[in-house]
Amino acid sequence: MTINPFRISMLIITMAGVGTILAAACGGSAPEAVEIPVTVEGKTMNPGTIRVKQGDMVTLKIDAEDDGEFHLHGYDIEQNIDGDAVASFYFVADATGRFKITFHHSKKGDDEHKEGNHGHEEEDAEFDIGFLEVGPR
Amino acid sequence: MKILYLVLTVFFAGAALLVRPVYAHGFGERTELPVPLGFFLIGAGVTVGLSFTIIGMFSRGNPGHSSYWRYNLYQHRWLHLALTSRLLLLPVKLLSVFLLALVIASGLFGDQAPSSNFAPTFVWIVWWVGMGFVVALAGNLWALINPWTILFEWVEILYLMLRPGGRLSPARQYPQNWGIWPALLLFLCFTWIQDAFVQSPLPNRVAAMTLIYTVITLGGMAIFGKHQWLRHGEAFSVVFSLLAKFAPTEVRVQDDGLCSTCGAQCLSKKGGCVNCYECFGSAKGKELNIRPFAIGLTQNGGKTNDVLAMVVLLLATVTFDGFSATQVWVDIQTFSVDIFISVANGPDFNGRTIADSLGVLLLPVIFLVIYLAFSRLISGSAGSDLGAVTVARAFAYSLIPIALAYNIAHFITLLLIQGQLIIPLTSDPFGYGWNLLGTEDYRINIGVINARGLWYSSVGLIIVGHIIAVYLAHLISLRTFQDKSAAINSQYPMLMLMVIYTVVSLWTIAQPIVA
Repeated sequence: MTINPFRISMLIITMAGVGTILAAACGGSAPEAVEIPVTVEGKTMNPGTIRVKQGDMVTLKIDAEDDGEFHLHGYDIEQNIDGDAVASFYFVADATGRFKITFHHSKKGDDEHKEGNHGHEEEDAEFDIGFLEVGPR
Repeated sequence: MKILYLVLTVFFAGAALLVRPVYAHGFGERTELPVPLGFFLIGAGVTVGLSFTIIGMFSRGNPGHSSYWRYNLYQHRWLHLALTSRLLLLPVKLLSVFLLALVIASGLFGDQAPSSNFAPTFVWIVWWVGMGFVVALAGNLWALINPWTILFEWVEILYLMLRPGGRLSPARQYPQNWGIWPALLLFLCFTWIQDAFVQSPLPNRVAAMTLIYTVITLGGMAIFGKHQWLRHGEAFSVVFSLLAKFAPTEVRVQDDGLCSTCGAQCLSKKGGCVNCYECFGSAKGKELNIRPFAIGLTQNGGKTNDVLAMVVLLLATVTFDGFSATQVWVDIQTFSVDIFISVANGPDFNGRTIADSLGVLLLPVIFLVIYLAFSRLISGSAGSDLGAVTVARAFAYSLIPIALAYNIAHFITLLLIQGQLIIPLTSDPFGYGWNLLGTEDYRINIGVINARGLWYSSVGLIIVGHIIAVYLAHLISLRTFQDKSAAINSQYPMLMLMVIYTVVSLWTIAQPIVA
């Protein structure tokens, strides 16, 4: 038997074929509307990683300790959150991936916010609080 | 001329370093989902299974072919004319030099937020990642469009116009015992900036780095001669020409007289010389060939310690870039921050920088030690008296396909998703709010990659890279050892090393990116 690149290519093509069939067979359920409660305390979000499936219509019920801006990277959606109320953050998870979520704390009555303000880093800091994982269906 | 360059560079680089840094936010953010455990386990299982199947095929098979199939594109007159036409090449060259100038100008004078400036996205994503893919999967485009070569050639032409009959000859003979160590050192600096330097996404830092490298490269060419420096000192020419050995294209010169006098000593034993751009420039019998993938990696003549070190550095760098984004590494960083808290506690220099710097420097050493240990085993299994270093040199290229496959799996999402930023940035390279090409409002489409497709292709690609690596190592072993049974025996340790490297690569893409 002669070993040549052709044989190896055939082997690879066969594997790729099997893989594709398996991939096609794994297709699943229909998208659904999901509601996920999320709390934000300081630099941590609970759950740390929000997991949904592609196509899901997601409403995050955000209960944050402080006022601030909730920012879902990738999808690039930002929403101001009032620390006193539970906010609804709605999006359709149409793209798969793992996306960072940051929270931009703003202090109440923060009107002295100026350029060159000391403690700038503390007050205006944006923290990585967790991730959104959108898995394939 | 040189002094003018030097003064300007020092001035701009100095100015760039004085600017108060604005911290990188969201630049080059990774968005891929980690490969699920099941994919990892199946991938690892298939890797091990196929390895044994293939080695079984080898033990029953015939030795590989010494020459390979190739198809010369230049045999078609119109293709030859099109591909070598000055009229077509000139705009490409102008564009390349323009982009170099744009990187420096936008980095120095543009908005300093990394994602609203052309320089970081162009250099780190489009050029570094993108050019690596093109060079490995298509051919050595870098040799054609290297802006520093083009600039230097222009300076030469200008010099000739000012002094007809004069020659811009190199000031010095390149010291041959330096080998490609200068390129290796420069590449190590580049790797450190990429993986350990906190401010690497900042536009003015990118511009300063580019400017300094421009001076080093033009200076190196002026001192030692263009071709000598490109072959030994220009880090990217050296790295890309290594990757281009995998590519399915080559330039070949069938002019043994010329090649034997060429400074690159590129003439092969079988005649002709491949991918030697010094000979290619002035040769008569030129070919631009299509060839099988990876076949350029089977050559094993004349590899020296510097080349071995470069290959190992490349393998380690690729792995470290992925590994440094995993939770395991973040834990190591945190540990390092705690240890060095009293020594280094700044935003730019802290325990994390120390850990990353050690990673960049030590991982290649660890790789080399492991590789040499396995090389010793390979030599022992073949009953050969070749030393570990000789064996390591002979087989070094065979590991490149695994690194390449992993590199593609690791960077493809970054290139295809974050790389889209170049579309709006082309319209507004300085972040001044321009809309030159009408693409300023383009928003990144995060849906261009589907996770499931990505998982299959990543795992598939790494397995294919592994198979190619095993095949290459087999071809090399037949040439390195006396008889076939020694060659087959030598491959068991090699196979084990490759399985480890492949499984580590698979493991890395199965980790969620946290850094």
